[in-house]
Amino acid sequence: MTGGGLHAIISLMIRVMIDGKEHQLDKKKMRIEALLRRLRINPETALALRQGELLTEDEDLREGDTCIIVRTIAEQ
Amino acid sequence: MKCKKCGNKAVIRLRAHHISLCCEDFLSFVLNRVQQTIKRYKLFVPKERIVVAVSGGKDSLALFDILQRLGYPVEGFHLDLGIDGFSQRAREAVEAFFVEREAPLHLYSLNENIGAGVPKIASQLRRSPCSLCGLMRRYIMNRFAWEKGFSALATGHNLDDEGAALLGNVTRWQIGYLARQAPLLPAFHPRLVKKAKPLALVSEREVLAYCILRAIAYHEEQCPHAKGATSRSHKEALNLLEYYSPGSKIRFYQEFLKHQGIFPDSASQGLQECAVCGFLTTRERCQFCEVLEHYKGSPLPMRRSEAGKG
Repeated sequence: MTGGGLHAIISLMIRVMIDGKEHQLDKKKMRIEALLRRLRINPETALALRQGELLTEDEDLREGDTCIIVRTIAEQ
Repeated sequence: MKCKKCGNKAVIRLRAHHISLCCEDFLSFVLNRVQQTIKRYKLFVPKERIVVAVSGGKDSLALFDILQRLGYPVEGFHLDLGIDGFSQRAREAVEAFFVEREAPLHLYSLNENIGAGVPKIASQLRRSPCSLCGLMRRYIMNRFAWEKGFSALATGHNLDDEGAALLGNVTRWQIGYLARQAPLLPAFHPRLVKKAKPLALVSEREVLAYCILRAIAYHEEQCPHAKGATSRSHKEALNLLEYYSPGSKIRFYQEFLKHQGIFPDSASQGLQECAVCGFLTTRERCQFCEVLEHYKGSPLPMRRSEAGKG
């Protein structure tokens, strides 16, 4: 597989960065609310960012997006 | 989701307040919230000298930013605890923040002034670094604020901190701590300055959002000694309640404050001057001097009781 092909596959996924780790979701679309539920994170204890902008829980992530989850208290 | 104030795209939903807000209106919301807290609990009077205890974390840096924007004449005080790596990175974050703002910052390093940091002293005295850290921080900050002529010492305790401390004090029925846990601890002796918590009604998530939106580069790392801290489980419990019943945290704290008078306070009774340093204590020698003398090899007895909270 060429470098371009690998890049194309990765860019079709949703990337989620949390606690210094990266997760890749093979989804076309995912709501922030559903993402937090899937990661078992209480929405009262975290914020989601995309390209440096805060997202409300009703926002959708789409393939190619990178989302950063910031917790109110760092994980131990 | 739309901003309830202006109809623009919202960046945060605040379920406890039944609103979603855009960036600009959220930042105004936080400033108003702090201003209301200052007014309601009479934290400061106009033009008094305020020192903010800055650890480098999000709460203290956000507090400094907010008080500056509200027009209070604030200065910062950072205590370098001498915890390998962690303290250096915290100090760097604080110094960068104050350089950028050209704001006055006072630094005190345990390594430079005492010859050792918290972990080394705690290890030698065989006591918990967290209780020792609390004891030393309180002493140094109180003494610094009084000696430098400040009239108020402000700390970045947020609603989650206050809620967690309250839950801890209630589950152990610590009456003395319950009597003193409030956004304002008055100066009940001429050698003490009042202590204020202007973020007491702002949740931890709101403070985090404030820092992100203001691009405040805070020190994100958690203290290596904080692992397993009970305050963390209390915060998690309260946030679970908050999830199922939005507004629980603020109700828990504010309703407590309304009824706080039922708890008797004896903190100001029996205060005297420490025979070694002259600062306030309820005993012949203060705990800070006992720690120092014991650390340096003196056979003074150590009291093993935990440092106070709240």
